Amino acid sequence: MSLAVTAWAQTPIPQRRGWEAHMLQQGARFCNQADIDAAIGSGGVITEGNVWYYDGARVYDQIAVYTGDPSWYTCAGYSNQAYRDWVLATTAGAQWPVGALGGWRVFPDGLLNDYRRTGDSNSRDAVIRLAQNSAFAGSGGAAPCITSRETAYIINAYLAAEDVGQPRDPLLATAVNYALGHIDQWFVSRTCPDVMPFMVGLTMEALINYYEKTGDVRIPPQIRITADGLWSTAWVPASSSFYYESRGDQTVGIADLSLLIAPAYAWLWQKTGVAKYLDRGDQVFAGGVLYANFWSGKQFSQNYRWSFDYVKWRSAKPNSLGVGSTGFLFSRVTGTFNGKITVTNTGGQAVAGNILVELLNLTPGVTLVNATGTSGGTPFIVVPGTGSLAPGQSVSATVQFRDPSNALINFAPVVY
Amino acid sequence: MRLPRNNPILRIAVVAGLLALLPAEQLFAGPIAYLVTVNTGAISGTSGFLDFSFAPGNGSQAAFVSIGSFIPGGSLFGSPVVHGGVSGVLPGTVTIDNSTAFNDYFQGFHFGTTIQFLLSFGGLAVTSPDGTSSGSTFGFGMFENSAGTIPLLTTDPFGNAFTVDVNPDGSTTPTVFPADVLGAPPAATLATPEPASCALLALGVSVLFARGRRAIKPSTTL
Repeated sequence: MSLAVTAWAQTPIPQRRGWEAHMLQQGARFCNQADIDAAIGSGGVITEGNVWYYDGARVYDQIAVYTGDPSWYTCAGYSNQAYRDWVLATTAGAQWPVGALGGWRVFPDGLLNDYRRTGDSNSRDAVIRLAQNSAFAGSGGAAPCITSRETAYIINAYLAAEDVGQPRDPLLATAVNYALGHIDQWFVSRTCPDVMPFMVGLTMEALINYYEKTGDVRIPPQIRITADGLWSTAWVPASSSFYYESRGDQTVGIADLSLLIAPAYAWLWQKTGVAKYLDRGDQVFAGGVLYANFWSGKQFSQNYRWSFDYVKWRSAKPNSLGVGSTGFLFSRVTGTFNGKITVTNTGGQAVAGNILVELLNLTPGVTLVNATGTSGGTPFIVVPGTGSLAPGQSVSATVQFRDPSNALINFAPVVY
Repeated sequence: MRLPRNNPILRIAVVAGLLALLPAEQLFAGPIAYLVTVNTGAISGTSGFLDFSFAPGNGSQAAFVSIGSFIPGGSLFGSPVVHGGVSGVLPGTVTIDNSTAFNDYFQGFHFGTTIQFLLSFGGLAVTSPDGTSSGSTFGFGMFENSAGTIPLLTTDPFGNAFTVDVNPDGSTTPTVFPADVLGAPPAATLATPEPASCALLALGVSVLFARGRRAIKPSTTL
């Protein structure tokens, strides 16, 4: 029993040309220092309908890298300086979080990139201010799903602060737990009164960012739950996009926000090789490129904030990890069925990090006694001792099942 | 032809001899048979239980294991407790398949100094492995009590003296466990006969398996 895995063959990314064309055309259109300075600066925020919102500095940095054209750094600089001035002015002298630096306006990555590229200490200081003095910096976000964006953003800020030399903020763990709680509210307990897919995308972005830096094994299964949940509840095929919010019209999608979500599917496909994530990611991405409107710089930054990672993950060869098992022998000593699952790297590239096996569709009534954890009720186990799995190499983990009815123990493994 | 009833090794030899003209490499593609010897000297004179079990993994191909040529060294007592896909009764051939999650033969036993039996694997998982599914595992354990909760002569926390995995490629992998925490040698030793003799042995045993399975029907004889 297994999920369909796609054999690797580099297929073109649907609508990539369009994505590149919009990047250049709209990027040039919104690279306007006067407009940016009029939208935000040390005097305050005049409008969010501008490229600074959703981190224009980060967007233009990525364009510069993607195109190899350093002139885009000029545009990054416009956005970075204006936003940075606002952050520093708003938090000047503050010893604690200030409400004026709202939690939905926390964009540390462009600042971080600028500090790395130029060494400008003002950009470094602004990163630290976001992590220490923005509205939710002192709480690590909040539990209600309505604060998911603020929680996601403060995760990004804590991580960026580490990247400029700050010690790990103890509230990072709190923030991540809040974010995992939001996923539960959206797709497991379904207690969130209003699910907004683009904010779900922001949470996935922050958690993937956090996972890439920490290897927290809870994250990949939660991303799977989120991506599956979004697809099953919020995808509107007729619109080739997700609806805006569950409280609103669920029959109409909004493509402007699709590229805040698509990269999560490419990430899952890259990690697991499971074909449906490739297919879904391509649909989300292509729909976003085809139907997005760039009403203002805000929409432009929403479209290009994270989508470079879509192209990166979608272009990379996915992991290819096969899973097998021994028989599961019953032990009267432990009252459990015991065996091993073995993960083999069947691809041509090493796989770094913890190897995590999630047991989907486990036979009803069967429980994995020695699970590392569960995600939405699905157990997963970390294969011990794996730092990197070379091509052809295998690793195993002991598994213990409780199976009161002696039913055949079957499951669909997903390996991250 | 009538085979000698009281000497299983001789029966194997006779059957093997009859079929020796067949090419061995076609008959025995991998290590599918083990001659198992269990040193029970440390518990000789005591009573306990033997446990033979064979289980599938996640979506395994069909397979079976046969326990034949059983030379107890001690003596069996009571009736076996059987679960799942099991046929036959010791000291005759017992065949266990992997058709359910729990396929098990549990038998009372007065221990002598050794136990010996021939363990052979068959079924699609061995003869036509698809290479993509999971394997199955055989386990042998000895226990002090009828509940099977107090293992003897093993450090395996699950109570097995040894296990043999049938791998997805049709090969087998034995694992034997130390007899005690002080590092005493494993009670069980698994010998794989030389290829030529092994082929004959396996062939002979396979015929006996067939006979043993048919022997469930009272009127069948070779």
